[in-house]
Amino acid sequence: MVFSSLIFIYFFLPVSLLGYFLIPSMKGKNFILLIFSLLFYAWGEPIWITLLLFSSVVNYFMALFISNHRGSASSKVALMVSICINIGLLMTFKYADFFVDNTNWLFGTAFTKPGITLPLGISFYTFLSLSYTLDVHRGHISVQKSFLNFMVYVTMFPHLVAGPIVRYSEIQETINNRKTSWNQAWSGINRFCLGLFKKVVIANTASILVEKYLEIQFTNLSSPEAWFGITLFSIQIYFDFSGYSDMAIGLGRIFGFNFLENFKHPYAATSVGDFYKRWHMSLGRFFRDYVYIPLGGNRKFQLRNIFIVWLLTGFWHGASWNFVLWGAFFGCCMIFEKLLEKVLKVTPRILKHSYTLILIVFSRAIFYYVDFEKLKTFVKTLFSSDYPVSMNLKNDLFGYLFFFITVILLCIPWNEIFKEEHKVYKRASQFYFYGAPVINILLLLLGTILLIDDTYNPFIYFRF
Amino acid sequence: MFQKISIFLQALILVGISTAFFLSEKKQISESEKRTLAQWPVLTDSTYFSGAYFKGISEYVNDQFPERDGLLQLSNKIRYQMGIHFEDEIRLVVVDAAMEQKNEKADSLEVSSDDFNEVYKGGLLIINGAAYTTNTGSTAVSPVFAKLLNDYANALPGVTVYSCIAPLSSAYIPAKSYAHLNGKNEQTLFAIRDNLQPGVRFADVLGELNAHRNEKLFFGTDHHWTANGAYHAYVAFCKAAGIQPVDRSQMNYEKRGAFLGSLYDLTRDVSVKEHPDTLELYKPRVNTESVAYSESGFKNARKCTLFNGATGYACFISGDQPLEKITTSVKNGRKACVIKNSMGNAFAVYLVNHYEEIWVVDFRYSKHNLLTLIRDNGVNDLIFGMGMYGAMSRGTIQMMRNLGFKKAATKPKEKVSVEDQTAKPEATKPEKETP
Repeated sequence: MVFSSLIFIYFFLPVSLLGYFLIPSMKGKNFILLIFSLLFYAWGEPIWITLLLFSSVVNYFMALFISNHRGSASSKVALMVSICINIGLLMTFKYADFFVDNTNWLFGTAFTKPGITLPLGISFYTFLSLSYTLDVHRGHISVQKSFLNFMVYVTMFPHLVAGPIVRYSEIQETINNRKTSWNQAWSGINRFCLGLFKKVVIANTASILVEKYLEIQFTNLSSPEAWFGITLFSIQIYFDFSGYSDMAIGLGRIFGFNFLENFKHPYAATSVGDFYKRWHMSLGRFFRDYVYIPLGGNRKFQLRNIFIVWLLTGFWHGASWNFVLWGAFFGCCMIFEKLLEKVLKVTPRILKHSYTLILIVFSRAIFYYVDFEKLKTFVKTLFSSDYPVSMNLKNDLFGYLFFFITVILLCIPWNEIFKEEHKVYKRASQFYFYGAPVINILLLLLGTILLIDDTYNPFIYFRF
Repeated sequence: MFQKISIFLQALILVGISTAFFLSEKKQISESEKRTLAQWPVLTDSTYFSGAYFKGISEYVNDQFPERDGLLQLSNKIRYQMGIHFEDEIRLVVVDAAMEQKNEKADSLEVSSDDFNEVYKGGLLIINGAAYTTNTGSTAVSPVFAKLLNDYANALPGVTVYSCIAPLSSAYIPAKSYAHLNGKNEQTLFAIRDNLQPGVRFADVLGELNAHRNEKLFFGTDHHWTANGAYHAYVAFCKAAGIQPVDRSQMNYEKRGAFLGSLYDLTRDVSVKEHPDTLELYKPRVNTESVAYSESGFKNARKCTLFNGATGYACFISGDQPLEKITTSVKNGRKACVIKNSMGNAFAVYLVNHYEEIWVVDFRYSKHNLLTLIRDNGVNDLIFGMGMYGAMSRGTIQMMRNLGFKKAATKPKEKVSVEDQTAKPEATKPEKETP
């Protein structure tokens, strides 16, 4: 099931909220949340729900064992087993075809591909489970003894299929005991409606144009149209994923949880490094804490560590070489930025912002085209093309003018420009406080109207 | 307090809409989308494990949402108002993704759902409220179609086979940057001509239409051609057959009310909606009687009428009948058989000027053996009269091949019982025609 669907908004959500808030006890609330989370997952993955349950049971018991034998060799063994099972699941269900393909290509063998369809959300819930057992082993968190509460942590539908990758430390207090305040519910509703708008109005509209430029007109694109198309994909992927995260965070708040932010106006970044402090922050935090720092972090082999982290980040996104290339591209960018640190410090902000945006938009091409031949052709088109600019570009620029203005307004980090004490911020906050109910209802109705006409349009990050 | 009230208000709206869903009347068919709406799915082990059950419920909610038709229109208006539009703007509309989900529409657009993305992969252009396809057929498939005609000619000695294929509307896009598509249509059609064996005749429909390119040849809201476009194809056929076409001044003219056709259904474009088509008919002054048969067999024949009362494209020969026999007052002993998709409907009506008997076969629905039909009824001319959709897809060409070269499924010359169908003009498969 996806958040941006009529069945979720008008049936699943009201019924789950009703069940949740009618039951007074925390145990009962968690039980309801678990039942609805499993139903939410089974809606899209009626078979692979068994895998989710298996993974959860294994991690629950491994963490208990690690906690009970802390400091002993058997604790380390249990940790290794847990890591192997989680990574093994990921390798089997996400990367098996990729490995067979490459083995066949490399050694001329003809092994049959298992052809396993990617279980929904596996990259997210295995990383979430991994972070839990690792943190228990490190003693950063106390183990969750209640199986019900642990299951709620792993399977909670707001974050289950596309993150954010919630760390147990973020919710360890609230999972056992929480109360939703009116203020929290209010801010959760606002956030959910904003996310719905981002996904349904912005990302889905952009996706229509993306298909037009990057698929249908692929063979006769002019260079400006190629840049326009890939910029649109950059818009789509950001609003799609950040829209999902907004909805997840909003739903979390309604249920009394406070998830950390996953995006922070990434297109306002002034360097590639800055960009990834603002983009999919929960994944960045995961790689920082469990790969980058253990490898030596800033202390030794920093450039190597950066490159490894980026290769892994790329590979996490999908079982395809283009994602690895994408990771390597960003790894190189980050290394160059480290090497040119002094020059960049004195470079005007506008220049830094411009080069960052160009690199990010360009990198989206590597992300978009899984087929290397197509990618090669497209990159060539970005820099030179035999085709003149068609009327489509002008028509779409004007035909979607209000759409583009909205996109720009939403990409600007207003809260960074006008700090909390600024009078503009204060006035805007006041206006939003009183205007929010009307805005939310309008966004909900707008989303509903556009969803009626939409065929199944899942979130892009569902396939990662 | 303000927060509490506003949360309560928002929840009330949410629950109100959910309740409206349960109270609203559930429908079987969407009139505006011309398709069957999703019904509540049946839970079985296979629907559960395949995910079809849950997917079916989601589709049911989408399709049965209260005031769906009105909301669909509103949705298109909202999308259209996302920017500024110019009088002379050319917009490329992507249609394939949506169509994958709604196979029924693909059928009404002349192509099987498997071929849909191939045919419409270039999207549709919208210029001044009229929609045009951007596809131009395939020179690689043309020889396959030509071979089909050659094979029929060889199997039917004494019968003259005609290729009378219309170009796609892409040939007449009124924009400089798309003018070359006329030439691409020509390449596809000439690749048919160049692969026909001697004796099989080629009607240069494109050439004839080109001579009248400033006239309204195709509808703007529908994928079919106009009666005017079909008339020029008829002239091209007459030239190939060496007969004198009847001038339109010798026919009865009639203009009918506005309609929105298949391309509006497909795009739901606001500017297309603002430019509905009108139907201008040229009716030959020949008395006719026509009978429609089911997809196989000659029992349960139904009487139908040429130029019936339908407001849209379905009026010509009562929509798409699997097999239709038109008997005319032209007593010259000549008989024709027209193999067609729905583009052939507007074309076949002009042939009544020259034949005593015309058998119209819709290759998509008919299971009558074509060779037997032609031999048993003494047909003189076999005319493949259709839009290029039929000749550019290997799937549709195979369907035409199966008509003659697959084992006969029916017995001809059964006793015919005719039931009057004049009161029900869009009979048999009205939903397959898109008026």
